[in-house]
Amino acid sequence: MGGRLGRFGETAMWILVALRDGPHNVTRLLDDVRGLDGRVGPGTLYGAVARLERLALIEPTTNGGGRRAYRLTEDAAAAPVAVARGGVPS
Amino acid sequence: MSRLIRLYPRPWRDRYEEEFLALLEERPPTMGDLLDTVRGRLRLHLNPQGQAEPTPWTHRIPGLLALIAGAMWSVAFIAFVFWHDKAWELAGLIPVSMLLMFLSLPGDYMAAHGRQIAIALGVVGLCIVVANLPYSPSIAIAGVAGYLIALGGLLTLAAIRAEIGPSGRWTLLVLAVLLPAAIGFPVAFGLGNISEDETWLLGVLLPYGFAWVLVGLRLAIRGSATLVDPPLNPIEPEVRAA
Repeated sequence: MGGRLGRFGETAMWILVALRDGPHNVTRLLDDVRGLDGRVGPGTLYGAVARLERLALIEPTTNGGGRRAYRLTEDAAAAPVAVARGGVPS
Repeated sequence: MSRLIRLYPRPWRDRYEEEFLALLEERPPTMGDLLDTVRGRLRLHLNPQGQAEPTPWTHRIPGLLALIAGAMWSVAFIAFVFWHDKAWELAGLIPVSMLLMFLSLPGDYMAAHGRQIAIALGVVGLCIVVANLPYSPSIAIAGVAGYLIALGGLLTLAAIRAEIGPSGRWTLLVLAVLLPAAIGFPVAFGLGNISEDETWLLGVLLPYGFAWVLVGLRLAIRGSATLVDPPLNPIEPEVRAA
């Protein structure tokens, strides 16, 4: 899974699924991903976040409190399905 | 926990450390989270720039050349000392291994460090001239200095390409070049009489071969783009700037 995302592919997929509800800060993201995927640690979460950000599938934004949050980019609309199939959208 | 985050590379910390620590304040880490943080660092180490694509096989070539060069260098000196009847034939491996060492620093790198490499080559040439002059202490000192600059410089360039940090490079240089030379050459050239026993050569030059094997292994595992390869997935500008 997630060939281009390496070992972070599965977590990356759950992040993309979680962000379909709108921008999340990392605390909420961690909670949501844990709700979907069980025990995900902060190291794995940030590994996946960094790769998704670099692949321009998610981007930072700020929430109401001025704290950094992440949201899906326009390119990421089909990303969860593509990542689940072992790749990322081009 | 902040100590664990220091394990992460500087660009990563500049980009994510603050929010990572904020996350840990809101969700205090368990032992499993600590292990996950270390594991995340190891994954990052194995895939340093978050390369999403597998490393092309061509990126392994510089590392393999360095690895073979180090092995040839080591075998040549071991054979030179212990296998006298074939010593000179096997000594021919030494220039071949040096050629491979140069080739492990491919074209783009040669261009970027051309001046240093030209100086190193000049010093090597000078050493050859000096080695053919009649022995005198000043010539011996010049030869040793040339040796240190040329071989040490070459190893340092390879270590830079293998992305070994400054402290690692200095450790390598001291253990593989400076320390063996500091101990070996005074013994060999003691009072102007070069020892008949050639085993001193192993003490001085074997660490250098082993160092190249180590650098080559690291370079082969990490991969390194050559002149003909486009860079792999360049980091996002804002991350690079951070």
